[in-house]
Amino acid sequence: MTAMARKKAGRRRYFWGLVRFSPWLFFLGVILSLGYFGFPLIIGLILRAFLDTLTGETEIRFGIWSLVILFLATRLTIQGAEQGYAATYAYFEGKLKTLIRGNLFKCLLQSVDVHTVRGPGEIVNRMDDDIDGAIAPVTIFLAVIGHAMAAVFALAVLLSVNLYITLLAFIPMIAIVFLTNAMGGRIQSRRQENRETTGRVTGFLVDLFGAVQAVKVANSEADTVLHFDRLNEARRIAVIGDRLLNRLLASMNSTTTNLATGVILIFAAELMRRGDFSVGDFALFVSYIALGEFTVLAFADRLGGLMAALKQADVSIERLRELLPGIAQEAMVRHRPVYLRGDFPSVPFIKKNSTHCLRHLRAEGLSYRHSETGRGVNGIDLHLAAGTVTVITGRIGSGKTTLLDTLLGHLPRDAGDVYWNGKHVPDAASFLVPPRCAYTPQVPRLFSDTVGDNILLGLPEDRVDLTAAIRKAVMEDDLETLENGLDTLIGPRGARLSGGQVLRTAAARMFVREPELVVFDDLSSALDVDTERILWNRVFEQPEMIRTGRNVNTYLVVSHRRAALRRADNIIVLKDGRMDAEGTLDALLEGCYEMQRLWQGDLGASERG
Amino acid sequence: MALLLLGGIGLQLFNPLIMRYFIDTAREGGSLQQLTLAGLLFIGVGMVHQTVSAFASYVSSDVSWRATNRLRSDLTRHILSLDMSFHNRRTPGELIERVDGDVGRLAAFFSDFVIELIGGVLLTLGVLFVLLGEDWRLGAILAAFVAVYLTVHIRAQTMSVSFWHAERQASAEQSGFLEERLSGLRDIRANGAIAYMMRRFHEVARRAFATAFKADLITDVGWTISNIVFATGFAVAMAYGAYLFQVNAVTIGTVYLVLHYLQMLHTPLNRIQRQVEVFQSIRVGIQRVGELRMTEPEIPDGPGAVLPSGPLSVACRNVCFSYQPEQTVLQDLTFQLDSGKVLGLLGRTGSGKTTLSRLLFRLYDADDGSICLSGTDIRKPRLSDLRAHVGLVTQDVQLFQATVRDNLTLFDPSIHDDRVLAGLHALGLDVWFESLPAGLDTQMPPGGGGLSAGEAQLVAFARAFLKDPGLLILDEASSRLDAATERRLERAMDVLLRNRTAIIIAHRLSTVQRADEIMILKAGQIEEYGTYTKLAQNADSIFSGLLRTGLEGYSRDSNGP
Repeated sequence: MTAMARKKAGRRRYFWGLVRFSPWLFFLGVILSLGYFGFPLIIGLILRAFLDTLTGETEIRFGIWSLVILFLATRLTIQGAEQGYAATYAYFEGKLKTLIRGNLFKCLLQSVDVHTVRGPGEIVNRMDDDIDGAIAPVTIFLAVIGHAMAAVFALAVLLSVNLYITLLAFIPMIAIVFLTNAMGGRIQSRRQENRETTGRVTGFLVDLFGAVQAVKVANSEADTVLHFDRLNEARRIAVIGDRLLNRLLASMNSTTTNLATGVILIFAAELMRRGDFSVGDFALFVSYIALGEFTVLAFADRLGGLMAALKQADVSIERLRELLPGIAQEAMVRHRPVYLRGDFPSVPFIKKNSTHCLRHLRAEGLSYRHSETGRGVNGIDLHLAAGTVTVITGRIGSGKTTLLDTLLGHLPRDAGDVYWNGKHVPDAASFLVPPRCAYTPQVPRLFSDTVGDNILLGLPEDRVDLTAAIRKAVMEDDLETLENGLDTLIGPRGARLSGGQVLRTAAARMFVREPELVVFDDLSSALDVDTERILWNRVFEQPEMIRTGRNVNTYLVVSHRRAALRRADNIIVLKDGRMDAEGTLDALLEGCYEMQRLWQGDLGASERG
Repeated sequence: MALLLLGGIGLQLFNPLIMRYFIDTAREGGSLQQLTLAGLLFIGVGMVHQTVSAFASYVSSDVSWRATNRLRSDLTRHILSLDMSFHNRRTPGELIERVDGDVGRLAAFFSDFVIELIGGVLLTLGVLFVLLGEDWRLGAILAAFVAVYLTVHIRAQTMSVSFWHAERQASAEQSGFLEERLSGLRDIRANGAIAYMMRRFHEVARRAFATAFKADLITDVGWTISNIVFATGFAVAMAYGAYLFQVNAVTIGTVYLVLHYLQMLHTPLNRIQRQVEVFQSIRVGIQRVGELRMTEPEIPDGPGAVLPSGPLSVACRNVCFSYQPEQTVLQDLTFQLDSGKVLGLLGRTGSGKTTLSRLLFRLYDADDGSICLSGTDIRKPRLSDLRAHVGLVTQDVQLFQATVRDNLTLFDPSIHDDRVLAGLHALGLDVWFESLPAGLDTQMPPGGGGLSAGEAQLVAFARAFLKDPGLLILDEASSRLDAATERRLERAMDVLLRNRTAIIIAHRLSTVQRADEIMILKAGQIEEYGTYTKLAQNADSIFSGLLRTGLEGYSRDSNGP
């Protein structure tokens, strides 16, 4: 019960947050909605006057022609209100969508351990459909409020015409509202199924179109399409179920209309025969209750729609929250500018100063366990002194990459602490960033932009040493071969670059930030012998830097290459997620069996040569 | 289906006639029983109509989803058949927008199309027909009105097409942007680029919003114009109805019937108008889907020569290739590799090694010269046959969010579990396999989570192993393996390479040690070619030099201060 109450309070805060984000726009929407949905009621009154004037059942206040002109004037007013309402609605909706999408994107950029939960395709899918679902109640509410006012007005008019028939006609409507509510659970589960099967289809497409070459060379086009067909079929069944339910709800509403009109016919018969109920009255009743979209029933319909939307929003909000485990739903509606107009946000440039300097980095008891595989790292201590090179090595699956991710805060560590110059670092992910630290992952990702944009990622070109970074990453020759140099577009994920070029672009991206602590994971894996040698030379040009008075970098590197191991001041050997040994290369070759094995393995080719 | 539709429309037309009967009978003082019967009949007809139309809508959405699923399937197959040059220019997000976004809108359209558009048209015709029976002038006025209304409306909507086109484009761009950035979260975070990416997001988001807003407003102006036309028509009907009543040509019930029918027309006309509107935005989609389907693969399928089974020999004659004109990647490349031999391919990045492997698969065709496998030009066999005979292991291993089995067999149902398990065993993946909670049925998490890069590499080995090709290309395949794991693979590699021709592209000398022959490429040309032993023994060869620099390059002393 308390959990329920808390959830409800959370939802209230969430929706209230949406409304408050743009209160004036919301208010304007409400006003225009009143005009748009309220004025059509006047049409009903004009019709009644028209029919009753014709039959002479009422004293003539307006001539037939005046009524026709009045009708046209009212219609024009309604159109004006509609136009304004639509614009306000679209702007309001756009602001909310951008707010939530932006908040989610920002949280995803900042939070850790995200992409192990959902693939990017699935996330984008949710950021599309579920955001629509999550804000629908607020925008629908705009229409509901207009309908509510229209319904109150219509009720008052109808009651003044005939109390008895009005009440009778309303019984079916009340029933439908309850029915819709009762079906809520079904709607929700159908919708969830619809969403899930859809997610599986798009998730698969993301994988597939990201792996076209692999599929082609494996000759498995036909088999993958068959798998895709199976996923599609599952979705078809879910979608049809969802649609059928919605359709049944809609037809229930129409049935209510039908029933209410029938009730009027049956019970107004006697009154009409007696002349107590005019043709105009009849037309008014039918148009308010049954015909047209702007009536009492439309209100009940919209209210039912709002209730259904609230239930669907529940599903959508939960699905969005799943993307961000551990983050409150209020974070989704945290107010900040959405930049739909005016200047875009500036990108701050942080110049390195003495406060960023690293003297020593210490980590104690770093532990993380992957929930799927149960593997990870356990109780690792690290100590890096300024200007040293530390190499982490170990065989496949020994936890090298996991250790880096745990240290840098890309994975939520189960235990352990990090100290920068002796000061405790509470949030490594936001602290260990340039200019303090930069990192190149094992499989670096580039974005469909130019080479230059990929390296700079928003750094002002005139305030950084781009040339030096490119040289350090051994990229200068590549730039000459690319058709437009730094301005060459590299295609999605850098598809138009070779594997080595992608890696070196990523390295340049890291070096241009001149980080105190340089962290890379197996940087040389896609490089040929020559390039690799040049790279290591340039990376470790430390003595020259000391001479020229520039900063001395500190390195933390995952590698199993001899070139790296030979340069290391300290080597950490991992085995099954634990530290097997630590020390200099000579000492380890002397006393560590695991190190000997790793070292021997790489010796083969060299010996033969 | 047609019966359901016609029946529904008949019932819809019938109900207002009951109303007219009711009004006229009541005013003339007819019996209460007659009136009550009319009321009950009205309810009954309405009920039947609802049931019929709900059923019709179910049938039509089922039909349209089946049809569009087939379209999705065809389109995906077609996209997969297109060349890599096509794929390198498009983000996965963009293609998904075609296959699922555009086709999805088509599905929505077609499932409503029959009911709404055809139903709307038939209902309109029905109303006109009934009214023509009442008074031909009334019917004529209404017919003219409907014609004007629809013309104006469709005109008004046409002007919004290009805006919707822009809207779809911007929305696809936004999805593509997000998808790509979400794949590189670590890269962004670790390089302190969050603020920059937020700025980029807002640029993309503003474009998406502005185009949608504009398209919305333009469409709405169209609606407003149409509604004003409708109101004018209604006013004319009011005036003409009043005239007919005053000259005693019709009863008040008929005047009401005309107005009621007109109001009733508003819904189907709006539906027609909405469908036309959807159709406009769909048309853009259909057009783009059509364009995509018209895109022909530049690599034509071969006529169907048969490649022999077993190891294949490779013969390249004067092969030239460039991705873009004036940027030669391979230049006059000629070499011969006998069947069952292993060729070690060396060279700097960009020297054309990977390109050569792509040519062997016909991911691209050589501009000049020819490549033959066991004497058969690779342009002769069917593409599928060629690719069944050639295997590739790259360092980028693409994993799917599917079961482990599907990831190993790439969804090929004909590969039996026993073979999969035997393959895993041969490659030394037993330990990994035993750690899987549900064996081959274990679902792979997205992005290959929980699998180390080295293990992913082993999965790629397993894929190639199961495919059993006559020619195997290893492209830097072991670069991410540490030495201990690499050694563990040696035995498996022996099995993998046995009775096969192989080309091993490597940056590391250790990976070519099993090569019989060595080829060094430089700027798309052969710099050196010979047997491993000869080249290694010849002190003047580049290869032996490489072996030495490789050693020097790894030595600590050579780079000291």
